[in-house]
Amino acid sequence: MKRLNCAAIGLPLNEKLLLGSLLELVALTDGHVFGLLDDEVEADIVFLDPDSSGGRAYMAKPNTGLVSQIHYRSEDLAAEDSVTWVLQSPLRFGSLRIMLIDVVEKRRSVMQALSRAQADGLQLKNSTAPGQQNAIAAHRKFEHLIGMLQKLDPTSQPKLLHGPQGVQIVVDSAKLKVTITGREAANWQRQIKLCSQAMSLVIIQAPEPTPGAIVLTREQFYWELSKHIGSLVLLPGIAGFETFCLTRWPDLGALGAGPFDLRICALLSNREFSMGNIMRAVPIANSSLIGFLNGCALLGCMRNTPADLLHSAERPKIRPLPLPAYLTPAIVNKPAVTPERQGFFGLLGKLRSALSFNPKVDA
Amino acid sequence: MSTPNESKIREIKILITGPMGAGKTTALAAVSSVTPIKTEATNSDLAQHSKTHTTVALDYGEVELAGGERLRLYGTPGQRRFNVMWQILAKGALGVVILIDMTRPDPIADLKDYYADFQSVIRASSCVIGVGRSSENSALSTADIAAACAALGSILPVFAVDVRQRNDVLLLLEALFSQIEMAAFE
Repeated sequence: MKRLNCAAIGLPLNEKLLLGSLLELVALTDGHVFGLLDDEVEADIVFLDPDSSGGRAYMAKPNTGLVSQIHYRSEDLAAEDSVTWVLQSPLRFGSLRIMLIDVVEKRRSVMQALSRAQADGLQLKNSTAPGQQNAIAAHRKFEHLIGMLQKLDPTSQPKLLHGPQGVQIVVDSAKLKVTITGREAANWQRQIKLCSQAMSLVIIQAPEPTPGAIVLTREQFYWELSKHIGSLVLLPGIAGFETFCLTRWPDLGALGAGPFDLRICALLSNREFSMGNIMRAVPIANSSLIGFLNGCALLGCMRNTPADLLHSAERPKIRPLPLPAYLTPAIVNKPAVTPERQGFFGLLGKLRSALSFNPKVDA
Repeated sequence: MSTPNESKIREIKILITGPMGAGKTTALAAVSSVTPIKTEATNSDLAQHSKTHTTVALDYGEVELAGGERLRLYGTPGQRRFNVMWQILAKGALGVVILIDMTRPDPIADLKDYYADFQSVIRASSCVIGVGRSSENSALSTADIAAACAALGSILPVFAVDVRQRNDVLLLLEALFSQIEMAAFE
């Protein structure tokens, strides 16, 4: 079986995650599939963001650069049957994503038709069997890779989420069902499918959205989805991480801050911590932390951490805070760090109580 | 029971800065437990902002705790010609709130200006960016502001806020508090 190896350079983690999942599904021809590698050296095709530092560095390398033609010859084909693809113009990631989803959906339709045909006792040609097997394998892979909602809390109540353009999404974890209503519901079908493959999907094209419905932006929708129903399993793209680091803070002003979100963001800003060490620094429940990390990954705020740079599983160390000048010199010069930190913690705790900051608490 | 050092940390100074009309005085008043002290004069720079009065020296507010401990809040004047006050006010600050007004001609240039002027405080302690009127600028998002911060070498919290809302101002303060606390871990 021929496998076309791909690599992604300079893409945010969430896009890389999405791309990797989609590529796993897309069969080029029977027996020829894409796969996403971590290393571009062995890649047949490289997806890159030309505005990223990684993308610029790659294009600056000798013997690389942009090509508009790909000559492809399958091992099973004669030389005269080789194929040349021509890229007419640079392809935006958004367009590529839609194309891949379309391909996936077509493949799934074919697979379902084949399954029905088999169930009806029809004889399939032998030549279709490998393709069907690949499609089934890809489908299962898809279920596994995108299945951030595979393990759901059966006791949780149905959640109503409001998307843009009046789209309403009811997620019923207990019944493994997602219901989308609104005139734009069909356009949201793909997004929902990507996030909740383990659930059945019901689309209702309601003529008008419910009056007074709160409208969420796409970022808010992803955030809510992660918080409410993606909190038991880490997304496939970050499941292998041993430490986590943010490349930017999610806009918690627009998204709403959970009780510990700000502290975790502060902890992970340009620094790497394992889940265990995050929970030692911030008293957050495991499921809430997973929901937070999944949300950050979906919003593209997470950075991958090379395995060889990982911290050991030690407890977080404490270093002195940068003390302001108006504190007494005796404190500034004193190397003992814990009492100073506790002093700040104590005052900040009192201020929090006095100010009555009420972060959003997940239902 | 408090430690000897703990008893000496009795106040925290936070600075609120940003261009004229960004909402510094409003933000400070939203959380201060005392009536803020303002130094306002008639606005003679109507080209920058149409409001009638503007801060010329400082705004001051505070949150006093039962034990006499305090959160001191200082608002800077927005106009650059009063920047002599900026460094005076920045002395000893443990955090800076930079308010950005998305309806101004170049919010990213504003960010760069204030980041440069308060760089020493930002690098030594903590900073949060509050983005006001974000819905009125379709060409720029909070993510763009965050990217501009990253280009300046800092991963800073950038939040869309309405400083007339007390909870939004508290979100900014809580972000500073979280950075102060979490800086202790490595």
